Amino acid sequence: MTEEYDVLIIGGGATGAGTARDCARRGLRTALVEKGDFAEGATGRNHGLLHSGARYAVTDQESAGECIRENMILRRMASHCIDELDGLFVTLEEDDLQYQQLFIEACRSAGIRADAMDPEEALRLEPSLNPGIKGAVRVPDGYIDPFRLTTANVMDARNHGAVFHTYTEVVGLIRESDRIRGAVVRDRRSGEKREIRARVTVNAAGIWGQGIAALAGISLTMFPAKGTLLVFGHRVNNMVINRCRKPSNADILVPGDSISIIGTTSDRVPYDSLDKVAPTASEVDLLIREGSRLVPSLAETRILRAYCGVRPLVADDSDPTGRSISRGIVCFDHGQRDGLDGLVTITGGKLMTYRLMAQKATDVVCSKLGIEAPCTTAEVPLPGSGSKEGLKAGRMSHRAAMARLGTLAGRIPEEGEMLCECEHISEGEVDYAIRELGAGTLSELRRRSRIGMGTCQGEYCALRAALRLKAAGKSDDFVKKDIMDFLDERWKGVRPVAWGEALREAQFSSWLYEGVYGLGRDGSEKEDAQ
Amino acid sequence: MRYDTIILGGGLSALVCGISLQEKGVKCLIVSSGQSALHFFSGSFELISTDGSQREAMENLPDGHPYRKIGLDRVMELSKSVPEFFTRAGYALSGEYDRNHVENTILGSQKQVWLTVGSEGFPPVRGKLPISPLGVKMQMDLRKRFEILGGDYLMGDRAVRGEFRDGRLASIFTENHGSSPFIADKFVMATGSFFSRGLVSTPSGICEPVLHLDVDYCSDREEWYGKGFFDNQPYMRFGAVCSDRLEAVREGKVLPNVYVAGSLIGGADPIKEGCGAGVAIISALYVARQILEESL
Ligand SMILES: Cc1cc2nc3c(=O)[nH]c(=O)nc-3n(C[C@H](O)[C@H](O)[C@H](O)COP(=O)(O)OP(=O)(O)OC[C@H]3O[C@@H](n4cnc5c(N)ncnc54)[C@H](O)[C@@H]3O)c2cc1C
Ligand SMILES: Cc1cc2nc3c(=O)[nH]c(=O)nc-3n(C[C@H](O)[C@H](O)[C@H](O)COP(=O)(O)OP(=O)(O)OC[C@H]3O[C@@H](n4cnc5c(N)ncnc54)[C@H](O)[C@@H]3O)c2cc1C
Repeated sequence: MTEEYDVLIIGGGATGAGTARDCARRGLRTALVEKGDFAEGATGRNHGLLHSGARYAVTDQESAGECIRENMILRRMASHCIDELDGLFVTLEEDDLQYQQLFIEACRSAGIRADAMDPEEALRLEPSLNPGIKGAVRVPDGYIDPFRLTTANVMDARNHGAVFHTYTEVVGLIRESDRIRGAVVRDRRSGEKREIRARVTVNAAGIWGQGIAALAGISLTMFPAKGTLLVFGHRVNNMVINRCRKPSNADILVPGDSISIIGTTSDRVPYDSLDKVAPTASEVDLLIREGSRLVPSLAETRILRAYCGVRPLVADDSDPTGRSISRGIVCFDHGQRDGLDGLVTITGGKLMTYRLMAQKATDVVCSKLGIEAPCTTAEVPLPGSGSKEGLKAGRMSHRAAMARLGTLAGRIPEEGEMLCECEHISEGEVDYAIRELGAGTLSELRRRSRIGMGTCQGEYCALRAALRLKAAGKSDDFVKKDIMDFLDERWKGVRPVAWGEALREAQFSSWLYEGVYGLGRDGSEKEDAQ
Repeated sequence: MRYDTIILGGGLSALVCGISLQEKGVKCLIVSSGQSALHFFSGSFELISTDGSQREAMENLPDGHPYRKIGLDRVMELSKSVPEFFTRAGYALSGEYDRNHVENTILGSQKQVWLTVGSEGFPPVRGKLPISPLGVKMQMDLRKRFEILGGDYLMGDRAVRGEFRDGRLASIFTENHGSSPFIADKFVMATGSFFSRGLVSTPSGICEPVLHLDVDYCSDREEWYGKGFFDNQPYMRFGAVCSDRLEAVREGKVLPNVYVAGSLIGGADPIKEGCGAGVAIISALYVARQILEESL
């Protein structure tokens, strides 16, 4: 059986989901395949910083300008995914205060509001700061939730007819002379292969885009840069905190929902190790050491987990060694670049610029297909980001749901049990994610509702959420295996920071799930977990 | 305040030890900082996980396991007295002292268990924390029995340090009682594992925070953990070093009047071996027996 579309998008990160939305809204028959779940790649493993562009102002005016323009657009059309916090760029005792002047000028010339303030005022705004700071500059940084953003794009694309296949991996491209005509995909659950044909195929596979290009027989050299981050157990700061110096390690602290995240490191990793990267003890130590220079209380704050992602940077086309990287958005029409028509690659950029990337890719697709429909994604709000008028929330869980789902919170019942105390997630919200957002496993529920992301890391709520999956028709065996997979995944992030309270909670979790509920792997399953 | 024996910790091990001693008229104080593992009790005690002979299964336990220190025959002998002990406390346990039976968990898995208090110890989880009403009730009932027998129970107070004299522990101090010492001939440390803060870990090491007893653990943090959540977790076996008589060790020297009981003792993996309550109860009975013998 083959399916036929105008456009097939490879990759269900923010870029792919955004491209699907744009294509579908312009009337294209659109399909997207993702080898795992939505936002399982870099999109779900970053810092969630809604850049103002200030971070790049001194080194890269073009990226800075792109950021501030998209920043202003996203505040409108993705409002329910964004926390408008503002950010401070602080100068520490050991940093050069002269850089501040250069920084402010660069911000202003890129169109970024940048207001200098004295240390007292900064400390009043953000009491968690190192009291020894020499100065601070306020910029319009914010927090953007990548999971909500991706989900909302998928939802809107679906509303416009797009078709999504998760756990569906591209294993080959259909090539007819000098054209790509779609892809051969493998269903990762059943193992079955099939063809999906399309007039244009978009490679939005992020860092894995190099492999997709290789399937087409063309060369695209990615520059995989691993970054590690730490999640702290509560919201330490209220504004984004940056260090006012040239971008470096561990110099951004972003508050999001109930937690704060410090990051990042940056190390090139071999392309063939992409699926094996894990945070190391020395990265963890460095993040704590450097982070507590910015905010001293971090040294004593409980760490919930460590995680890492790989930035989809592209090696400069003109440099065959692959050592110089292009920082901005990369959009290749392979018809023009390599004489292979029907294939477009969209990568590089940032989460922040996903919409612009999607627009660029869709423009190319449309020009190939001779379609003139204009892009509307900068004007039309995402589902959930419309006007909140008329919506009211009484209970705590419903207020929290409104913060997460925006106007879509109207779709979940007000009453009902609380399922996750750390994040105030009700049973109704979980049921909604199962019913309407296609969450069929605990990990999918986590990405669609924040279950397991807060202080308890799923310790208390995983079982309760699993019982909702069971109520929705999953079998006992499925639910048991799913809980085990979920706990394994959570443990991966806890292990690098498992001391103090985290170890205490880990022991408790083991007791609960293995000791009391009797879950465990027999010999054969153990092999898979390795 | 002066006692014959002071027990630190308020979980299963502390209570079993305290009750055994009070039953024989040894004047005890229990100092408990609060919640214990009993609050999350499944409803069944485990001695060792096996569907065959328990005694034989114990042969496979590693050296240094608390059952090995106590002696496997003595473990079985002490376990024989357990149903009686709980009957006296008002709990008729089902199951045999020397044979496991099967209980279902709420996820439909089956578990080999030793003695069962009630089958729905852990009802489907609701509310703030998944607390076991059965375990909470048992904790209260055991405490009541201890007090009726004449024991003093200091609730919600934390032992913070001890004072040593001539290689022995002379007294302990608690959070709420500041500089007034609690003095006794014998002491029992039953403060639990990491979960109850009987052990405390930092990125660089693990300690027993009250008396700074010697703790057995590997120094390389990478070796504390298994890769998968359900793999062996070496940290589960970390615990206080003790002699074969379960006397505590501090700075390499045995403390002759301090015993260790329950999950604070190292060497066991209560989850993989299915020996949580077994170690707690049997070690408590063993310690109590020795204290009684010494006070004759
Ligand atoms: C540590 C770190 C911190 C960052 N911080 C920020 C930040 O604060 N702000 C910001 O704006 N940006 C940040 N970024 C950058 C941002 O995360 C990425 O630029 C962005 O998420 C890329 O999205 P994407 O959709 O292009 O790629 P991805 O999210 O990686 O999506 C690609 C998808 O393609 C799928 N795929 C791969 N191969 C196949 C195949 N063969 N078949 C089917 N599907 C396939 C993958 O599973 C994946 O889901 C950060 C990145 C990292 C690593
Ligand atoms: C969540 C959980 C569930 C379990 N469920 C079961 C089960 O269903 N069946 C089973 O066989 N085993 C179970 N176990 C194994 C359990 O370890 C044993 O069964 C047993 O209950 C341990 O008893 P304990 O007295 O050694 O330690 P704990 O129960 O941990 O008690 C230690 C006590 O010491 C107190 N304390 C700690 N420090 C101080 C201090 N400085 N001063 C004063 N008091 C202090 C604590 O507040 C606590 O009350 C479970 C363990 C856990 C952690």
